[in-house]
Amino acid sequence: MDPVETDRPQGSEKVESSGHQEKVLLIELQVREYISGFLWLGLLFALTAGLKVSLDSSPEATAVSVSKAPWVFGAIQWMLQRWPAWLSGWVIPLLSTAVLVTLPWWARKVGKRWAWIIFLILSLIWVGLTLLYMFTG
Amino acid sequence: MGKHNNSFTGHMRPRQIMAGALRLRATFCLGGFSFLAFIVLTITGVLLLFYYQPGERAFASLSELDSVLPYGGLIRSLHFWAGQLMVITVFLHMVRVVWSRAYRPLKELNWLTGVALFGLTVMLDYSGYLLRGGQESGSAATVGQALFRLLPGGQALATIFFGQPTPQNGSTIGMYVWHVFILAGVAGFLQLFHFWRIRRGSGVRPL
Ligand code: HEM
Repeated sequence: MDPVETDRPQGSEKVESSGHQEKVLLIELQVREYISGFLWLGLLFALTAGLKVSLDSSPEATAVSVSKAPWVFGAIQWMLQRWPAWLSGWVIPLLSTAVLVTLPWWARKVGKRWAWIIFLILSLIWVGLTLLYMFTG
Repeated sequence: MGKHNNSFTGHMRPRQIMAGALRLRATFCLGGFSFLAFIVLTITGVLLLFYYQPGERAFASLSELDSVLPYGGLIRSLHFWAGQLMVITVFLHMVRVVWSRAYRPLKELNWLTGVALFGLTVMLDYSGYLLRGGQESGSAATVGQALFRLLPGGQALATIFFGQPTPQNGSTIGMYVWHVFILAGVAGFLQLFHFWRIRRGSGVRPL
C-alpha cells in the first residue's frame, strides 16, 4: 500500500473539480492497477506453465545448420536474406528509428493524422516482416 | 505522513488524479505492464545470476539449472516469458501513445526517452538470447558481428559489443556485462526518469 494514501479522508470519493477535469483519489487508480497487475501475472504464469522454454542446440553437439534469428530481429533477418547487409542491417533500421525519434516534429509539420498514418505504416511493415519471418522461416 | 506532496513519492503518486485517466482506454495499462515485466525480469534475472556462467559453460549451466536445480526451470521460464511479453507491451504502449497523441510538447522528452527504452528493450531481448549459449546464439552473434564489421572500425566495435564468441556459442563475458549491467541498468534508470517526466507533464491526459 502506498504510504501516501494511508491518511486519506474517508468517504469523500470525488475530491475536487479543478478546471475542466474532475479529479478522483489515487486509490481508484491503484485498485485498477492491482487487478490488471494480477491478470498480467496470471498470463505470465500460464505461459510459463504451458509452454516449456527449450534449450537450444548444445555447442558440443555436431553442428546443426542453424541460421535462426531471435524473433525480435526476425524482420531484419528476413531482409538480410534478400537484400545487401548494409541496407537491411543499418540503413532501413536507422531510418525507421529516425522517423520514430522525429515523430513529434512530423506531427507539427504534416498534422497529427498523418503522423499516425506514418507511424502505422512503419509499424505494420515491421510487425508484418517479423510475422513473415516467424511463420515462413 | 500527511504532507507528502513535496516528497518524491508524493510527486510520483499524487493524492488525486484526473478522473478520465482511469478509463481503460486512456492507457490500456500498457506502460504499467511493461514496468511490471521489468520488475519480474529483475527479480528472476538476479536469481539466475547465482547459477549462470557466461562463456564456455553457459549452455551447460543453463541445462543444469533447468533440470537439476529446484525451481530453476521455473525461474528461467518466467525470465524468458516476461522478456517476450515486455517487448510486446512496450511496443503496444508506444502505439497507444501515438494514438492518443501523447508525444506533444511537454511530453516530447518523454517520447524520446520512450524511443530509447524501446531500443533498449529489444537489445536486452537479443543479448539475452545470445547468453543462452547454444548454437543458435552463436549464429545470431555471427550475424550481429558481421553487421558491425561493415562499419569503419567495425572489428573493434564488434569486440566491444560481442566479446569473442564462437559460431557455436554466443555467450561471452562481454555480452553478459552488456545484458546484466549496462543495458538493464540504463533501462532501469530511464524508466524512473520516464515516470518522473510523466508527472512533470501533469500525468496522463485522456483524449
Ligand atoms: C520500458 C519501457 C516503458 C515503460 C516501463 C513505460 C511506462 C510508462 C507508464 C507507466 C506510463 C503511464 C501511462 C501508461 O501506462 O500508458 C507511460 C507514459 C508514457 N510513455 Fe512510456 N513506458 C515505456 C516505454 C515507452 C515508449 C517505447 C514510448 C514511446 C516511444 C513511451 C512514451 C510515453 C509517453 C509519451 C508517455 C506519456 C503518455 C501520456 O501522458 O498519455 N514509453 N510510460
